[in-house]
Amino acid sequence: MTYRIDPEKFGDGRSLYERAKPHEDDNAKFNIKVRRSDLRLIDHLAEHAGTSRATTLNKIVSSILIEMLQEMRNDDEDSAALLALYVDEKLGKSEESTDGWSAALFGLESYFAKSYWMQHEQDDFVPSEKYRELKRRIHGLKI
Amino acid sequence: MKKPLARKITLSLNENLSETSSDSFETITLRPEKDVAAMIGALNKLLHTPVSSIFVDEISEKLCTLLLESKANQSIVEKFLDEPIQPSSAMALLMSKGAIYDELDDNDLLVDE
Repeated sequence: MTYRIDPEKFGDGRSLYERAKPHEDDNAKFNIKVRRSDLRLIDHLAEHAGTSRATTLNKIVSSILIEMLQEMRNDDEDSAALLALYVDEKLGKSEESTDGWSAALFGLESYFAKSYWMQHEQDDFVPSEKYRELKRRIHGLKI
Repeated sequence: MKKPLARKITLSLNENLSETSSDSFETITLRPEKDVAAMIGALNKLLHTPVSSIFVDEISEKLCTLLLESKANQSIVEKFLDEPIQPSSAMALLMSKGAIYDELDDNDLLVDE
């Protein structure tokens, strides 16, 4: 018996090969500068909580990034939404994921992210200049 | 009014330049969770934001905000009252907000009165 594949039954998503590849940021490390006085405070908090300096600092950095994204949204929602979606896609998530950056931006109800992106489907929707510039840069990275 | 991200980053960099002593800072290597790493990577690549210095002022501000959130944090602050206050640090921000103050200045005020 010879089997054949019906291509119509398959979607346009990322292949399992792609999904299985390690993301470039999986083992990423970054050098960041911290004021010595703040670091003593962080060390104290970490010691008291029985965690490491790195764990405490990671939590702080994470919450700072969420606030930055929110501030970016206040300034320009289009580019903030695109940045969040770009990072989510790099992580193999969609705008509907409840644990992604889009969720952090629009709230855990994926409805809000979804309804935001649905606006882009409308004929009269014109994204902001910053959105277009960010889109251009993302496109530049992918080439 | 909150500052837009780009302006905040520029301000942050300028403020850092004014603190010339490298002894004031320590460089820490972070291995964040992959979602955080991906966002930092994107900021670096897309917004051309230097990762190393972007968080300096943000960390100070965040620590200050977190400390002010609870009266229970006074005991934490107390542990650092005998140390010199580093400019722009969380402790300096607490001072600028009046959450901690120099006792001597207070006495001076009393004498003046």
